[in-house]
Amino acid sequence: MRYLAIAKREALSIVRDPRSLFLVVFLPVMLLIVYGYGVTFDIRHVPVAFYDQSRSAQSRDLIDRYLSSGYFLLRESANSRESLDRLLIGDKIILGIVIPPDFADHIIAKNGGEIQVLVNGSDANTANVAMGYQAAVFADYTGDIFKPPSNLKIPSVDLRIRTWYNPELKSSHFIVPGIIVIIMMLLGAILTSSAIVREKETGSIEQIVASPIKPWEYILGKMTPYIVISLSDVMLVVAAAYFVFNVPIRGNLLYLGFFTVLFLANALGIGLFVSTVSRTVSSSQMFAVLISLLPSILLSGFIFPIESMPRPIQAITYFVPARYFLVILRGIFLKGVGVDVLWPQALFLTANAAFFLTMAALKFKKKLD
Amino acid sequence: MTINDGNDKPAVWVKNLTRKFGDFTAVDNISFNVGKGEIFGFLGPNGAGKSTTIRMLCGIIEQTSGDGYVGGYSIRGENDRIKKITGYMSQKFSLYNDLTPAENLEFYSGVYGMPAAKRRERMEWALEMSGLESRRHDLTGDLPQGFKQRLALGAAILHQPSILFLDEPTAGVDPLSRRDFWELIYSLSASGVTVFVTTHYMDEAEHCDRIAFIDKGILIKLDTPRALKNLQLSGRIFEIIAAEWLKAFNLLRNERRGFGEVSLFGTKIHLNFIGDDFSAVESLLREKNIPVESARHIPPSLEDVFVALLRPAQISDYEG
Repeated sequence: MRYLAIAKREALSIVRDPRSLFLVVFLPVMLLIVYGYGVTFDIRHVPVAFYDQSRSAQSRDLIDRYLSSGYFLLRESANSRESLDRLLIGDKIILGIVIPPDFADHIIAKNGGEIQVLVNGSDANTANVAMGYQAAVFADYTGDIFKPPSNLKIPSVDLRIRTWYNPELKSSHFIVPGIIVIIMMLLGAILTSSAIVREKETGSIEQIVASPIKPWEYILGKMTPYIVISLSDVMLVVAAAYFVFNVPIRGNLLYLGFFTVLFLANALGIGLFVSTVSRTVSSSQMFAVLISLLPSILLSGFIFPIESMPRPIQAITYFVPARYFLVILRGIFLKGVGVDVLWPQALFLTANAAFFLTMAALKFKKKLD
Repeated sequence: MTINDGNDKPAVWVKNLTRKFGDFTAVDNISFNVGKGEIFGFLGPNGAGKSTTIRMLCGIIEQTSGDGYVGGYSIRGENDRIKKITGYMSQKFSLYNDLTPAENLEFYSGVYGMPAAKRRERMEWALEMSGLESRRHDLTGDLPQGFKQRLALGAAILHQPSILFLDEPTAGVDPLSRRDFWELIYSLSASGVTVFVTTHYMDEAEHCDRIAFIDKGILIKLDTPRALKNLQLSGRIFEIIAAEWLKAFNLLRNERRGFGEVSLFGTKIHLNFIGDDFSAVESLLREKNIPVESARHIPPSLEDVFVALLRPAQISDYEG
């Protein structure tokens, strides 16, 4: 069992370095907690300023509705258009709302009226969300003001929206799985990225190459201990997601374990491939970070939907393992689905793992230069 | 382990082997044979191409051109078979420093796919051979250099290879351990193992059955130590001992009359004297007030021959 000899040796080296081992085991949980709290798509406390020219009971009622919605935070009051402009330019506020002098009259007369909303579009995403909140608050307000008399029945379509899987639309419920994917991809690739190139640096590769070991025995042997480490990492991280972020786990944990091994084979395979083509540990680690981190964030569908990418970029995403694991984690955590639904992801992960590991074994062609 | 070929076939057979690194030719068209059970010494200065040759034969690097057979198998395409019957000890220590000697040996027994029954016995043997029985659980990185080298040798012969490649196995080893090392090499050779060894210690080279002199990738001379020492040198070797040996050495080296090639052996000066009357040398030293303790004609050592072989052009100049 030449494969076992490699695996055992690698495991011994890992155990002999307890400080790194400790770091490797607990770093992902620490990262998840930091980023899980830090990263959110929910936008709260949008800074806002009002230029209230009306100064009436009606305008104060409107302002109060904005502020009591919980989405807006009064940053400063403006007493002129110029001061509102200054706040927008200085990025002090996202929304500037101007209530004209005749606002109260129009409301009392029940004949409409208007307000002006200035949006700081320099952060288009936040502006968009803030606009949405604003529109909802305002619609609510006008609905109450211009409520038709209760005896008057207006026929209308009854719209009943139900959000499945994440009824409160908590962004943490889909961000936390995304962060787990990114952290594990990064960690997996880094873990193995130095595994082979380190042997080149110390020279022990000479003896390996002079021995009758086969490339696949060497590659799989190298990978095995890291599968064990990263699998325990995933267990810790999933526990943190459940207990710290209250992300529900509705699916089967055994399926999760099965999919995780497939995914880790990808992450570790990429690291091993990087390790076979690199000449120094530092360059291989840099390469591993680049090749694992950015695609997992940008091309996995975590932030930007794959459907809206141009076709050639979409084609690249087929080689991004994070893409599949993201669907798997969200599916198991939020939807409670299993292999019956997620088998295409499992298939793609298997194909990609085979691809990366074969590339590594081919590059490690047992001749140095 | 036996090789599937007749006794008449050499253990190593090399024909026109060449390796280039870019524009630099590390090994230049060399050809030689090594007989079974022979101790074959590869001798030459650093960068002469010794390691490159060994690494090609072990299948670690690709040859640029030429051919080689090890144990009857070609280095072009039969590397996997070669690797099963050869042992290799690289010039740079390459066992794992973060493993114990026992763990290192276990690793090699696994990598060479040794049957479990045999492993334990061979590991114990290797630990005993390298004198590490009591230190088997220390970290290899903490061992003195001599022990490390013996452990590396143990790992290289653990699987009982029929052909052994040792690349400067005694570098950094004290003279006493070096003698033990050679005792072991003798016993391996006596049991039929072919030993291909590189060194730059001349005294070690004399232990070899045959020696190949290699310089700048070119095989200069291949013969037994005895035959090499009997080579007809252009001059006679004189050993000069003087307290101010460096001064004397520089004086003789810069002497325009051309007494012959001078070289230093520690603090002793060897002069490959090509003149007729050695008293000319003695009177020159006397003139320059360099007292000579002794100056005598000695039989050439291997190193004298080596020095002479490395500068053939100059020798023929003097001869004219």
